[in-house]
Amino acid sequence: MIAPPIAPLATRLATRALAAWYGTRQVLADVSLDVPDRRVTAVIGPSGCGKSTLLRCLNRLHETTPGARATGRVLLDDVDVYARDTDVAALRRRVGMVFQRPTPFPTMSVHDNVAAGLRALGARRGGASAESERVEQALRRAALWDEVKERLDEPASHLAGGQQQRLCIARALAHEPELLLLDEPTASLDPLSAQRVEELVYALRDELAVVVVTHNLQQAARISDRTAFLLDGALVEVGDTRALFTLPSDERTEAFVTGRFG
Amino acid sequence: MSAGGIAPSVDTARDAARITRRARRRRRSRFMTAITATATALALVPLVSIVAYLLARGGRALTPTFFTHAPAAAGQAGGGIANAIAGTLLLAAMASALGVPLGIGAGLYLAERRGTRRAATVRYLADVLAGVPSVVFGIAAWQLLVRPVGHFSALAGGLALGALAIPLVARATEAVLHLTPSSLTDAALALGFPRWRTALTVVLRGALPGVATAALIAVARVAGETAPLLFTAFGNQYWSLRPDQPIAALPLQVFSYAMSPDDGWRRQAYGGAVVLVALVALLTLAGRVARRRA
Repeated sequence: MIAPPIAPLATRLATRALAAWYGTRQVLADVSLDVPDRRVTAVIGPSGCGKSTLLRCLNRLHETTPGARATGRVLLDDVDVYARDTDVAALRRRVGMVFQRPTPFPTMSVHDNVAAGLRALGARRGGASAESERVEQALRRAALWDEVKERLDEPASHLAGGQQQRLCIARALAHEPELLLLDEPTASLDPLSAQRVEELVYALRDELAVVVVTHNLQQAARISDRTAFLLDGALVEVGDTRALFTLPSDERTEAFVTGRFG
Repeated sequence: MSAGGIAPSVDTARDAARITRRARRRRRSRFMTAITATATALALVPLVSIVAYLLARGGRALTPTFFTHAPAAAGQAGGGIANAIAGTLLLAAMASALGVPLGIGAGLYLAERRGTRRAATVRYLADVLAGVPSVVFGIAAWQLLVRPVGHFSALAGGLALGALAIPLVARATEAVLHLTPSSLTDAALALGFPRWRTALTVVLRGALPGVATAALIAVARVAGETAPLLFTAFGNQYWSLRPDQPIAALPLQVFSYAMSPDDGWRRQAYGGAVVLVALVALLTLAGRVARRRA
């Protein structure tokens, strides 16, 4: 799975001088990153370098942590998501997010988990049958439908770990986001499940923009088109994945991708 | 084997030291275990002796009539405390109606706004409220609900007990809600759930068994209270389930019978105490079962 060379693409999301703090501790400084549409962008870097925080700033989840704040701009389709009149709930529905550990809602069935985001929109648009259709569609996109179509009414917690993670991806896809954020989506999975999620991410690139945070360099190399290297909260280098891994322009990047630290 | 000759002897010395250390550690462990076991046994002495004493003194009062009849007239044999059992159940229901929703709401607030100054204030006030002697709740209810209408009422008693339950439910609910992993809250927020929807459908819904346990145990705790009822529910020798009238309650019945010179009534006081303990034990047990189901 070698990424094809990147043709000039529309930028789906861009950050400009993004900075973030937890209380008085600054964890991101001056990050300006472009995320192209219908490509996978990987964010790599050592533990604690601010990868997850960067991701959480993109859908404004960062600010839900007490004491956390961010400055700078995050432009989704050229509109600043940190503008004062932003509808944060609407923004988060345009941006799907999946976390390190599978987070299905334990009290809900498989079906209801996928439908949860749709229902948060308020009234069920089009009634129950339309909802079921969208649930099926989302589960198919997450390559989970065949495994769970007989188990839609079972509690989501009955699924295996890898299935739960793909369920979370289906849940994030159900309201058709333009951008999907994956925060180390395979870190808690067994190798086979991880591979299925990787294949899924690779397939999704035809449909939407994906940002994936990973500490697994091989994974970044396998599934991403572009890679951004983050160190101590600063963006060191960003570029075509193959170029970044084979001919990094910054020596710190080279040290990291060759395994000399991190 | 000059070097080999020394090494074993060093090893032996080290081994000996290790063995002594291990033996000392084991001795100390046994000693500490014995102390905690003794403490546990001592702590159980009051509970076991109280229940045994109550059964010995009041066991004979536990006849079928005792559970089905209201008190007999003074000086007459027989009669029961059915009205007081019903009264306590009604008072507990009223207390739940007030204390459980308000307590859960406050607990949800405390959990959702953790880390804020206002939540810290509310938490402090809840702890103060939980520490206020229960008789103060009775006086407050008397001042607010009895004096203005001019007579005692079941409602005043129920609300006094309910107010007593609020801080208990709130703090226990908060503790249970803290157990919800923040990753679940994150997931809900990332889906575009508003805060309130996240709190209700993810946090509270997931913690519901634990919250039910907290509520049941709090209600069990206040159902046995006497002081708040003395000048609110007041007690009643007759059948009444009217909320606007004085109502009988187990703790009150036990209190007044225990003070009486009549042997039969005193026996019934012990019987009533047995029933009260059993009721509280049942409610607490129900709470534990609710938790185990989780």
